[in-house]
Amino acid sequence: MFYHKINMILVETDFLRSIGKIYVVALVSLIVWAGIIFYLIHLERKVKKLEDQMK
Amino acid sequence: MKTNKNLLSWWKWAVILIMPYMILMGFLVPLGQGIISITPFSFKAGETQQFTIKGYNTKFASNSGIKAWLKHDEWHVPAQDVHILNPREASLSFTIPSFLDSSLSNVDLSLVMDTPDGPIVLPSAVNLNNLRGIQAVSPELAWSKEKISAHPENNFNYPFRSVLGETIRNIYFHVPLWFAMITLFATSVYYSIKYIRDKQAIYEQKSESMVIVGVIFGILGTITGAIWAKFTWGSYWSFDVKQNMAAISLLIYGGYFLLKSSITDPDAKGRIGSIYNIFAFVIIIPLIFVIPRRFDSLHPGNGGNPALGTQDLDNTMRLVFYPAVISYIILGFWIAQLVYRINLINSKLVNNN
Repeated sequence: MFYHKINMILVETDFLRSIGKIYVVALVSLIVWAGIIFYLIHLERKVKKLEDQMK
Repeated sequence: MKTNKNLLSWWKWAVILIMPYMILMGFLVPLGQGIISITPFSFKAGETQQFTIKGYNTKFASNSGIKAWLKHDEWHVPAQDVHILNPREASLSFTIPSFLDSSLSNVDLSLVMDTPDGPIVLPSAVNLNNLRGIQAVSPELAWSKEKISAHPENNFNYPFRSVLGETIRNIYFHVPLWFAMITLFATSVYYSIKYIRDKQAIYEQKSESMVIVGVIFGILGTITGAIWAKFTWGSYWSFDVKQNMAAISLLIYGGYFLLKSSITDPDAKGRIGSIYNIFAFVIIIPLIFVIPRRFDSLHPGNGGNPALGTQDLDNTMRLVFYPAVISYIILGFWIAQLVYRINLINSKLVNNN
């Protein structure tokens, strides 16, 4: 019964589960990208502060 | 500091080249053939039963000699009739006598199919009610142990797994985060030891920048892992042993930043921070690599198995997975180096003023 339930999870019920759950992969890769970009913006601010101090 | 005529050192180019390869291969290589549903689920022994299956990425064609078997361990019975409805749907009829081992009241049967593009397997597809009633065919004659000969897989694709579906691609985007985190932490320990031996402030700053980036990768790994879990295991947090241990590891490193921010004397800060960092790494190694193996886990490679065996990663996936791990590790060192350089300039400005 357990496996049957798991097999049926692949049945498309909403957007994120459609087309074999491909949008979950899109979401995961976007989160990694967003996390790194946010940190780079944080570093950018630090550099800006240093530049202001040097003036 | 030495000035570099080239804007980027060679190892940074590796990230720039490998990341697009990883993204393109990760998203564009198709999944192999699979079956996403079969109805009905349970049936009685001895009766002729028609099943309707729905395929994924299948190219069923009526005249291509598609065959099907229901299988338990090494025993299997072929389908009497395979009727193709459309490229993604087929109806299979089976007459399955009771299973040879009459002590079993229910038998899980896997569906195995052979198509010109390669085999399809759905584990525990249907459940046979194993009551010995009137048998149209004798069980001893129907159940066969002969090896099923199937067409070899002839397309370049990733394996289809019934729970994962397309999310098997997350192996390239989620798993390397942890590899990079561990590599960053290990290298930061190397610099912590160097700091304790030589008392050079730059080692301490290098070590700290690697811990920062390692923790960021760990947080991203936890978030992406939770999302992946929601759509495969059913909930964001299943209190899986590896999930819990990863969360504890991040808390331990949270303590590293708290400890360092609470000490004002730079020498004591460096020394105590370095010692804490070494101990943190020594503690997380058993948390992440040893304890999960002692318990049942939803993660592959736990409950006694080595991680990423042949069942979890096939040869096609290795072509993308290993470059992905390398590029994430290098990206981690790249960001850590930027953090280190910014902190170095910052401390020099503070000393000059």
